[in-house]
Amino acid sequence: MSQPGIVYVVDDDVSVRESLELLVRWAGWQPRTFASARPFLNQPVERVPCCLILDVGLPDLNGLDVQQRLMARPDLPVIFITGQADVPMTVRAMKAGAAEFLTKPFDDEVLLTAVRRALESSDMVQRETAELETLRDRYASLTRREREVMNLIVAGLLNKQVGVELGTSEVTVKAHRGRVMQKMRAASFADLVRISSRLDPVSAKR
Amino acid sequence: MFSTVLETEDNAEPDFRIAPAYPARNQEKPLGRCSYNRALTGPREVPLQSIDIEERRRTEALLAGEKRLLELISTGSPLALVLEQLCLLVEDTAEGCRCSVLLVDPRGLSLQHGAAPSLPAGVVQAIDGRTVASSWGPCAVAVRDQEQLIVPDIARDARWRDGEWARLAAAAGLRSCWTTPIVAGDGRTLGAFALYQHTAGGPTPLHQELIGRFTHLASIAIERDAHEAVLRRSQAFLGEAQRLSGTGSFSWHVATDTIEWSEQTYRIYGIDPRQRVTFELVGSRIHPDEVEWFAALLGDARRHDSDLEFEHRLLMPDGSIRQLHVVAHATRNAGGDLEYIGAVQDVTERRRSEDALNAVRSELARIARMTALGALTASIAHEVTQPLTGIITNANTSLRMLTGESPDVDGARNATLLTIRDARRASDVITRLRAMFGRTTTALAATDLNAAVRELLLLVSGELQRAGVTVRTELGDDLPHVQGDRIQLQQVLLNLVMNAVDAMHGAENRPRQLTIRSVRDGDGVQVSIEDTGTGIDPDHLHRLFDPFYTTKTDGMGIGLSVSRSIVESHRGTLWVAAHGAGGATFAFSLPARGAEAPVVPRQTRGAASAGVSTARAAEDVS
Repeated sequence: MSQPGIVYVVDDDVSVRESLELLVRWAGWQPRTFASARPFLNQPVERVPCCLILDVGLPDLNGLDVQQRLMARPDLPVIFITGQADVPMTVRAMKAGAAEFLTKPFDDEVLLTAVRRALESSDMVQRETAELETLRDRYASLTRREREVMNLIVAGLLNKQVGVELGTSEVTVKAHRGRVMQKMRAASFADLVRISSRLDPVSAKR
Repeated sequence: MFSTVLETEDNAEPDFRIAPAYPARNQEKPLGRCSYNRALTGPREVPLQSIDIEERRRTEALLAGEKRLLELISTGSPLALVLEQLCLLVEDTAEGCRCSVLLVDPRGLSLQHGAAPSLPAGVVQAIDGRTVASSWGPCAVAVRDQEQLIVPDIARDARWRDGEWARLAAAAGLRSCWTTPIVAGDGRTLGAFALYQHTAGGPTPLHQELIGRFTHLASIAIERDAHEAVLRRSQAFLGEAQRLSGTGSFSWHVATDTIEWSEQTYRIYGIDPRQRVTFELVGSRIHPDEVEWFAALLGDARRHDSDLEFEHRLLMPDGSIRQLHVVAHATRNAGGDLEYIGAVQDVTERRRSEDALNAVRSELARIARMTALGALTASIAHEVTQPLTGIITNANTSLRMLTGESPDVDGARNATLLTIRDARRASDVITRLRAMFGRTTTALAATDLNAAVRELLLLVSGELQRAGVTVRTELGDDLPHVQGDRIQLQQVLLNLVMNAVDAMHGAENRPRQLTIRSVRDGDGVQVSIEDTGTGIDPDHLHRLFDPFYTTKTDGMGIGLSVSRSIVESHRGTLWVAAHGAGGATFAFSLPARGAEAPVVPRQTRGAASAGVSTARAAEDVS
């Protein structure tokens, strides 16, 4: 991680908020505290590993509702903290992908560990996302014919078969293939197959 | 009667005995001397010296008799005795007469002999119980017609001779009957005064004079007796009322220290009614703790004629304690002397039942508080958990800062300061809780209702947030303080707020808004709690404040009833101001001078101090 991770804290209680702020800063991360959900949700997204420590009982929005709105942010793991946890609430939160569910007052070591893991997970997701975007950019730089050639060869067709399929010569197919390998920065044919499956996980399984 | 004697000699001075119209009994010796001179005076003008002597004797005897009768009447002798003596005196005075007095019952319907010492029992019994309207015998007729009736010869009187009465009279040897109605000062007929003779004839003027005097005497005796009967009856009523109500009366003539007690007062103090009341005697009953205070009270009472009202205790010989409530009014008698007239009531039982009632009421209030507490448990736990979380996290952070390779002392100090702040917060929550739920005794003080509202909202803020309720307060800024118990009044607020929250629980499609207002109301304060809940079913309205009446599945039905009892003990009122579908509004108003004595619950209070303050208050007013 190049930059210290950002730890968002959303809790309406000043004691909880400020104590977490100190702890998070001490642990070397950047705390960002909010007393309610909406100002937090209006924050611009930063491409830094981050996680959210979220109180379940908030004055404006329920913590679980906040979690729902964060479905599009897989890079923002949620650690729930609550003063009054019940089982259905916990189950709902965990099913929705919560990283952790802690009951106040919590062990700070447990919280730190949870934050650390969440930030690692966030970092990983962000890296993957960044890689995928690079691959998509490269794929986008291919011509239509090059994309057709690439899709057919990763599906396992020989150059000759591709030529028949596309109504062109084997030589031409070879030339396209060379440019595809170059543009997609694939080290080998196996690498190209892997890139292709990451770009289109569904067709890769076919 | 003198004529035969007088016509025998021209001049004579004979001694002779007179058979007077009203002879004294057994009068044998000569009464005087008669002298006359025919030549000088003529037979028709005889100066009779002896008449003066006789008449004086007769008059004196009569006066003496009348005096005796009046004495009997004034000393409250029984009417039967007075009337009997009256009859005997009449019979002594008018020889040959039998006398009776008949009484008419108060409704004027029937006759009854008051006295008839010389009449045969048969005659008496035959008349007793006859109605006036029956006209049975001359007396009934005289009473009915309200006029004297003379029957000179019963056997020859066409009206009577064939009747039963005439036969009875004849059997008793009675020949004539003169009966006269006895009339009261206000014109009512009280009875009849009857004279009977064994000879036929009518009354002489002297008889008539006697009849006049004795009917008058009889009327005095009868009226006096009737008055006394009324008085005795009213005294009996009063005595019974005093006994039943446990209230005695007394008077105290200050200058002479003369104290008079009614029977019930004697009973209250447990003193023999034959004893004369002195302050020493009273003092022997006063509770030792209150002797000094009582003496001071009496001292004040001697100096200023003020009305008194106080309570004090008696220590009875058997060791029991009585609680008395005394009210006395200062008066000046004709001579200008100060005299207190008052009543003393034994309120021991009342105080005891009041105490028992208050104990029950305060227990109910406590249960209501505990019920409210139960509903708040989750919120309150949350309230405490928040600062606790801060404390633990801060303390740990502080420890981490100090134990690292390069200890961050400034950071640790900061974390420690936060720790202390959070601990104070937690402690405040506990203090509020203890104030609200721990205390059971009453403390009266000038209470700022707005502050009470704000404090309560702090306590329930967690609960309100949990229930998704937003609160708006519109608290007046010119409100007088209210004399009352802050905790009890907060309990009322808590009950109303929690009810409002419950009412809004089911309201999904509208804002859950709680509005608390306080406004000046005359010299007091009115507070209203408005919700946007489901409102109140009109069918439930009239039973809303009944104990143990509830529309909630988990309610006990004591919140509102306890709230109303608390407000009323502060001399205020609690009511439903609105109950439509848009929500309900409960309001209560409290006068600035609310509770003046602790009503819920009453401590075993020092009666002495309470008594003194009441007496002083009474003085201040006068």
